[in-house]
Amino acid sequence: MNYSKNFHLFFIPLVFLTTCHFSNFYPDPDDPGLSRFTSRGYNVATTYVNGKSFVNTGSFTPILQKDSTGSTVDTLHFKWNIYRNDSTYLKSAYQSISFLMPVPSVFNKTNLLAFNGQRFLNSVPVTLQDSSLRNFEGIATLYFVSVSETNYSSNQKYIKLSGLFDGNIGDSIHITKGRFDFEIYEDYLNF
Amino acid sequence: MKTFANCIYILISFFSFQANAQSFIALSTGISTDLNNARPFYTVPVTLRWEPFKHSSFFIESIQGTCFTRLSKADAFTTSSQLSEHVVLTEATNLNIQSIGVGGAIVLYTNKKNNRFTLNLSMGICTELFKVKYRNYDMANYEVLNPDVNTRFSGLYASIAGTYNFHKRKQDMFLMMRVQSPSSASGPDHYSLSFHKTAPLELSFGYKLFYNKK
Repeated sequence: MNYSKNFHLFFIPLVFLTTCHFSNFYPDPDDPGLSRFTSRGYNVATTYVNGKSFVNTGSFTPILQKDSTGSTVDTLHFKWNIYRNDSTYLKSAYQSISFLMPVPSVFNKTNLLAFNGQRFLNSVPVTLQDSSLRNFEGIATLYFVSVSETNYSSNQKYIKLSGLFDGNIGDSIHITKGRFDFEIYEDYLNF
Repeated sequence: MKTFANCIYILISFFSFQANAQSFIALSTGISTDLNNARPFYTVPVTLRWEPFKHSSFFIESIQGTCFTRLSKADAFTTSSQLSEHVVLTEATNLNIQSIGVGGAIVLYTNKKNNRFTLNLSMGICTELFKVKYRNYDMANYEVLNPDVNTRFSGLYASIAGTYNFHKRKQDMFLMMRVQSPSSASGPDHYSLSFHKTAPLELSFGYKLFYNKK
């Protein structure tokens, strides 16, 4: 087989990585490295961790699922992958951020929509995971500025979530100026 | 460059049958509103029009528009427990428009006193610069939701103007109603702003200053 002939195909994933990621990243002129705070379903989330800007990977939607604990209180797991939004992204210290919110086991989509405008002050467990899969756990503030449902057609319903977050992990890791803007296909929800 | 020169030549030739008695420079100003934004931008346009040829109504125009600040509301939010979670800010948007183009005038009506009603058609390049500022914005603690940002559009425009030229006390004056298309420019990205490119509708009054008068 002539591998050299198909050599260019190896670059296709690279092209997708470089082009898709920034499709909805609109730089915030006031906060270098972060995207503007929007509520349009751009599927972009950015934050500073110890002053370094991080962005979610690609235009992939986050994980938003209810983890059953077998008791009357379950955990709402809100997670997305991140990497450094600068030339050092290959040496990114963290690869994901997740928020774990205790919710009643009967929590459903209606309850999620009721998060609209709710600010959970210094009460949401947050976890940063590094590339060695070590978890760093702390406490965050999570503010759901806007949660709404969008119907593109009768069988295509999306939840739009946008908001702000910040938090501290011990005294050494500070998450600041976090903002997210996601649009999640309702069928992806497990509640 | 050659194409541009050809266009100018065609325009000069096309409008040559609408001959002027003299070459002139026209200076006008007035007020303009905007037909392309639900909340319009109001500007004060200053228009300079030069008809350089005696035997053609071909002209070169330059328009500078200075905007009255457009005020609107914006929402800002914070995660800080010490502060109110939501504040309403005043967003001040300023617009600066510069257009430069070429065109020609067609005389539609002339009365006994040699007052004329002409139709001016022109096209050229328009640059619009929107500057956005949030008043009393605590940038360190609050984030503006769906913020507008400074934006520049630059592209081609076409315009049409009805002009009534008249004389009074040996002065040559005119009243002009002019509408300009939004420019052909596409924005720097696909980000949605609360404003669009403008389509100014202008009402202005001006003087004609003839030279080479015989």
